[in-house]
Amino acid sequence: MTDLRYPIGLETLDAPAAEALRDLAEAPARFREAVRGLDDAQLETPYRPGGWTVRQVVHHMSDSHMNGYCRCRMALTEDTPVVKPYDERTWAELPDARSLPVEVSLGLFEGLQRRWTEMFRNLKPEEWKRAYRHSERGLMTMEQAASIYAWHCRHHAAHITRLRERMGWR
Amino acid sequence: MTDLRYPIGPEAAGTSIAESIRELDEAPARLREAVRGLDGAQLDTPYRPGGWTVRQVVNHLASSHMHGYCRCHLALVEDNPAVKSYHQELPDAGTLPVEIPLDLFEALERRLVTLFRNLTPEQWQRTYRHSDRGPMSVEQAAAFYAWHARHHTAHIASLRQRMG
Repeated sequence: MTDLRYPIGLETLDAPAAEALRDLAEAPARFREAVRGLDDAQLETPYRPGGWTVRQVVHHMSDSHMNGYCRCRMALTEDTPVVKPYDERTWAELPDARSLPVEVSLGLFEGLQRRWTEMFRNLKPEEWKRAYRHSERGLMTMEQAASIYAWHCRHHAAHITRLRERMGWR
Repeated sequence: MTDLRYPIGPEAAGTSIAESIRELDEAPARLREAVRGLDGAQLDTPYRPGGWTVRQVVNHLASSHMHGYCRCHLALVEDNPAVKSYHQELPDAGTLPVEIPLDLFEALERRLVTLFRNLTPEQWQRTYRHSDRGPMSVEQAAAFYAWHARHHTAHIASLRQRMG
């Protein structure tokens, strides 16, 4: 049986930078497409039993990628900064993630990804090797971060598109 | 002589929560108004000699408030988390079309304002520890970011006035 939590498999650390950038740049449109036409009841449906609702998944994308963007900026301007994991479960339960229209986070995510991909596109080869130190996962270079966040986009977009397929929503 | 760096004066203490929220709520529209109709050359004008360009200021507001949003979230879900100061701007801040940070800033402030409107009195008193400034409650952070938005918007507005 497929694990509904990992519709596209586990994360990849070594996607080529060009591929990661393409995924990151395309992600906002994929999310818009994934939620297009869903009504409130559909947005309030968990993507799997006991999982986040579609609305929470969308708000999670802007939260998580804001954290990721801030981490990468720190890695570029500080000497291997230590970053902490962010507690995604409690963030997703904060009131704004439960109630705000998905449009807000879709817009946020889109602007964010545009800034982030622009930042990545301007990196010199040696800057791709700069890293932050994650308190649980250890060193993370810009290359690896781009790969992980690109995977992260496809991962969560697939949560929504697979739910749509299972539910027969058109 | 007026200090061009502080057009509205240093940050104010004692701003009420309601006032901070109102200002954060209005900030995106004010910022949009401040840059309305500026062409590329105007956007690339430093707001003071040696200062950031208008474009950099707008990008700075988006990235700085993103940090602020992350910090407030951290303060709400962790126990007095340590956060580091953040001063620098990256090259993309000098080149991106201002529409990108304007949209980003607007969406960001909407999430932040929604979060703030739903906080309990105890949550307002939760804190993070800033590497330069020490403990900051969420209430103080709201006042700071409200000031910060007005501060940078005034950089642009006062430049426009000076340049006619």
